[in-house]
Amino acid sequence: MTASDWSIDPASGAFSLTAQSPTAPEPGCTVAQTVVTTGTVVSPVCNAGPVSYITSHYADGSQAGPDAVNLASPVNIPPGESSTALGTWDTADGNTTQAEFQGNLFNAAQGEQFRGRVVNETSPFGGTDGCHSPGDPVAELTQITGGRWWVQNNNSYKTDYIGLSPSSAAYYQYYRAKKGLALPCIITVPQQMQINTSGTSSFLPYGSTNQGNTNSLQLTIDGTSVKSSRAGQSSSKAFRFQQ
Amino acid sequence: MKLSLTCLFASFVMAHVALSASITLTSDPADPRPLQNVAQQLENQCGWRITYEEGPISNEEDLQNNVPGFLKKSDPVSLSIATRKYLPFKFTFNELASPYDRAAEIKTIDALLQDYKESDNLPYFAVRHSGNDYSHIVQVLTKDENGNIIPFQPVLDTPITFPKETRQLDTVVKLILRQVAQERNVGITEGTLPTMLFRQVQVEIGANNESARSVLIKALDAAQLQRSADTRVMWQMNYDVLSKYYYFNAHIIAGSFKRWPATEAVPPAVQTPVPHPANAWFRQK
Repeated sequence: MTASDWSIDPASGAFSLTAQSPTAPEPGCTVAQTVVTTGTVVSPVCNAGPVSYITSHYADGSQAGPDAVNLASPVNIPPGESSTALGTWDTADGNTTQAEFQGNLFNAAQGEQFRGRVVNETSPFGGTDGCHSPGDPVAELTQITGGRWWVQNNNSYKTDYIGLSPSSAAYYQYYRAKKGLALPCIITVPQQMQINTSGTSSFLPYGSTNQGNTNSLQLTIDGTSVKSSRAGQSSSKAFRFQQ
Repeated sequence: MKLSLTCLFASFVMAHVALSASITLTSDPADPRPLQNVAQQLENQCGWRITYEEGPISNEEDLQNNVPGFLKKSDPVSLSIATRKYLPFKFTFNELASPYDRAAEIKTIDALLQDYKESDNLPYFAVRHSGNDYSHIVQVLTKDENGNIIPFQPVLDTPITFPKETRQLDTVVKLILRQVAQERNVGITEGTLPTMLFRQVQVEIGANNESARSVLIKALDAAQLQRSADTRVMWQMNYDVLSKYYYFNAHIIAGSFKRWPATEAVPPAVQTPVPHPANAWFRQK
């Protein structure tokens, strides 16, 4: 039997799939003319339902079932993402040198979106901190900082805050100059984005270079400004150490 | 990924061949915090949570110049470029048996401190172990202007109090640090932090005349329970001899060494805070 496209009610997650027997039954065989499968997709990753039902309809009008079955499809993974520099900076105390970014997931090949899923950042390998020098009280920054976001209705997630603390930026501005070290200095941290495949304990990476796997995060400290970048998208602002 | 497989491989070898090899960790010769440097390497190798807290350096005898282009030690100390006086440091320990053994971890870290004190570095540190997987390297001595070595009460020993309520972890950490700064009349500011974790996790924490360190542990353990057993945060409180500020740094320990169930209760560190004497180096932020 074959079946092609079928749809899931976006509100309830319910679906109904009817398959037709492509050939007449062979003599002596009892083959269902149609098989109807109904169920509800309720999994957080939208690829499985805990219980679905199959009902087989025969030529003589009788039917078998419904029988409970478990159905699952491969988990969809976004082909990638883009980054948007929102052009805003955090206003919270102690965080004003951290720029705000948004991630935008690409739809899957069949057009599926990923709302309700969870994305997670990880460090696939260490970064390079071109601002830190031995003895600095500000620790090296070479790894991501533990972000996790829910994907929203428009397939995006936010806010990814990227930047040093104001006191760290000020330290580098003042003391690198004092020590005769170069400014601007740049910190580069690799960010591998992953999406959940089950609950919030199992994740898979998605995308390609600067489209999720792996994004380049860059923090640039100059004598009079700070700049934050995510996958090539940047925000900068005037910032100067005040003694 | 910073973690090496040394400890796991060592465990396998120990379990099956009953051999024990030694590992030597050497501090970066350019790093004026050799103890922190080696402790960090232990963390990277074994996933151990070793926090590090400095105190002030109050005597110029404990300082040296450490900037390329300047002669070290023979030049008069220029405070604008000074660092702590130090020498590179090596620590050798035996590979550990499997499975994870907290007692063996403590023994190794104690040996690290002992070896460090016997090196020619500033011997001002001690180690305290608390909770299920915390070890704290803390500066407990300093040298006064007259050259006398005197006790120093670590700043995170300071008792703090605030009402229990649900707050962002970032807010809780800053609340802790500000209370300490106020109580001790010192400058404390933020260095490198796990920004997103601190922003996204909310914890219900209060403090009733408890040491700042214990409250910090409660907050981080609550965050770990919410996220995952692997979300283990450690901190480094570095005292900057130039700005005379403490910089509070923290990061998530890399890797997935699950050494203890995240649901276990973590008893607070045993500490007896004492009033801190007035110190001209300190100033309020």
